[in-house]
Amino acid sequence: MISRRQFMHLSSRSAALWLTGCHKRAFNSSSAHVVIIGGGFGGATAAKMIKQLDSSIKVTLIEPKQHYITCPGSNWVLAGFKKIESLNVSYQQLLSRYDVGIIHQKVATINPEKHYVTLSDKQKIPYDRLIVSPGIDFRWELIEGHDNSTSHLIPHAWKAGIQTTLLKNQLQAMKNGGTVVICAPPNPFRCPPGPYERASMIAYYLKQHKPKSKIIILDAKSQFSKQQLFFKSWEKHYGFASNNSMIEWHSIPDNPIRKIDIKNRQLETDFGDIFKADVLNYIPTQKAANIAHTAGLCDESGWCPVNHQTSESTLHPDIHVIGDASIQNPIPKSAFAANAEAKVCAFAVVNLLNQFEAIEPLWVNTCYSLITQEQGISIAMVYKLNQQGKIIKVTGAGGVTPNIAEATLTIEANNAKRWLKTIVMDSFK
Amino acid sequence: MADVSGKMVAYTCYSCHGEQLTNLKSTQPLSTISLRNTLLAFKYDAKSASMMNRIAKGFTDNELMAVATYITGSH
Ligand SMILES: Cc1cc2nc3c(=O)[nH]c(=O)nc-3n(C[C@H](O)[C@H](O)[C@H](O)COP(=O)(O)OP(=O)(O)OC[C@H]3O[C@@H](n4cnc5c(N)ncnc54)[C@H](O)[C@@H]3O)c2cc1C
Ligand code: HEC
Repeated sequence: MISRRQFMHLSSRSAALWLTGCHKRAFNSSSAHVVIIGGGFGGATAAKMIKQLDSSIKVTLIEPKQHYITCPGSNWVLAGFKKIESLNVSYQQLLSRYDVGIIHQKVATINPEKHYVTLSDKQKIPYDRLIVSPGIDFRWELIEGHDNSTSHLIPHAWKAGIQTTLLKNQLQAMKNGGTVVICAPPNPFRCPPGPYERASMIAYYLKQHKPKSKIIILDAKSQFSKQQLFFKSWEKHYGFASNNSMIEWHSIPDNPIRKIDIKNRQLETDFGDIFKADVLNYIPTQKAANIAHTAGLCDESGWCPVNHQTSESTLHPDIHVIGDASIQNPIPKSAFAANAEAKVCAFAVVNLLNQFEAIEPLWVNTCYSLITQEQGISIAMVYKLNQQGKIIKVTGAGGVTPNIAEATLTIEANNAKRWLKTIVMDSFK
Repeated sequence: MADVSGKMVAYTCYSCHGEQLTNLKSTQPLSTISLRNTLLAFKYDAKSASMMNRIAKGFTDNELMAVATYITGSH
């Protein structure tokens, strides 16, 4: 069955073909409606850019929160030099500058066959193309004794906002000489250098206020992003690898954490090792956000496979998935990447709706991390699509901070702060 | 791999520089050739910096010309 709306598209398309004999712009995109789920870095960027490329397309962004809170910068809040309120981003400009329709509700279900989404208030919103950028959710089933209902006691702080404040308050209430345990998740997860920037920022705070304290990172991985740069910077600032190191890194890939005793803030691993914490920051194993699962957009990995030329789902036509929820290897899950994937997706959606030729896609990613308030490091890469439709790193491009001179790390820290302002502007304003 | 269009490349620059490229240090109006030359200088390490060399190495010379043309044409 084709709906009336699709039928009109088909008929106007063939009419245009017949009249002009032209394959391009065969039907007017002004009849098209693009619906976007999730107003994070991916969804907001896609909404803005589609309107910039073709203002005749109707764009509706669906996001439950009245304003967004960026995860980038949220580790800096723990260090004490950034206010959580300064991470708030308004959706106003998307409406006033770009005429993006905004509905503050949660999408309950997607109907890929009939092309509509149902909101939590049961309202149905039809789409011609749907863009899904809902971020992540957690795999609580992998841990015993702890889940979302106890995350106010053991905050993950892996979605910025109340969770960030909870962790910050616990750090402030901790005694001098206390132990902070950060459990870093297995791959893939949102923001690969994030747990280590977090350790740096907590160390920065403790060094000033509670210098007898310790941070223990229990890592599900055997190596991590920018590892050498983090190690060298921790040596310099936090006595890493000395007898008196503020930060310890324990890699336990074969001995995963199985159980959390909430009351005693105690962890138990597979082999029965016990770790006791004064502040416990358990960052759970991750998966694409729940809506992607209920809509059947995920494969057995728990993430959404897409065609990289268009970011269209390989499981449901006319639905595109971008940002953390999508599989874009080797591009990491970051705000920078979500913004880049949204741009590729916006070009593809506009071109598909107008029946223009597809363009050659390109992605850039950079992840800055602060070590102290004034010292920073980064990793960057440029990505292209190869003949087989796989995303590949451009040979010779990218890499980490060119040297570890203090002056270089000062420039990197300043650029990290400037970048946060720019990416928010580029995505939401 | 085919070259990427100047417009697609430019949108990736905006993630760090913003659409107005206001983040660029220079206050001079940019000419296409001088912008292309700066980008080539970053790519071939004639000019070194904290970030731009790593980025510029991701593009062919033609792509750097195309993005310079697009940016100076649209701003
Ligand atoms: C501590 C920390 C630090 C980080 N630092 C950096 C950094 O320095 N640089 C960097 O590039 N990245 C960083 N990141 C990663 C970055 O935050 C994410 O990669 C980015 O937010 C992904 O964007 P997204 O659009 O995929 O998802 P999100 O930004 O999470 O947006 C998803 C949105 O979808 C909404 N949503 C979910 N389900 C539904 C539904 N059913 N209906 C409607 N809306 C829904 C949510 O409310 C949310 O607003 C950091 C992350 C963390 C945790
Ligand atoms: C990851 C962030 C990032 C991206 C992406 C990026 N730049 Fe830059 N750019 C910088 C930084 C940081 C500087 C300052 C020099 C340095 O430290 O690398 C800079 C400097 C420059 C300069 C020199 C400005 C001056 O006056 O000295 C030019 C020109 C420039 N960028 C153009 C571009 C273009 C064109 C693109 C897209 C192809 C681009 N940049 C992409 C971060 C970025």
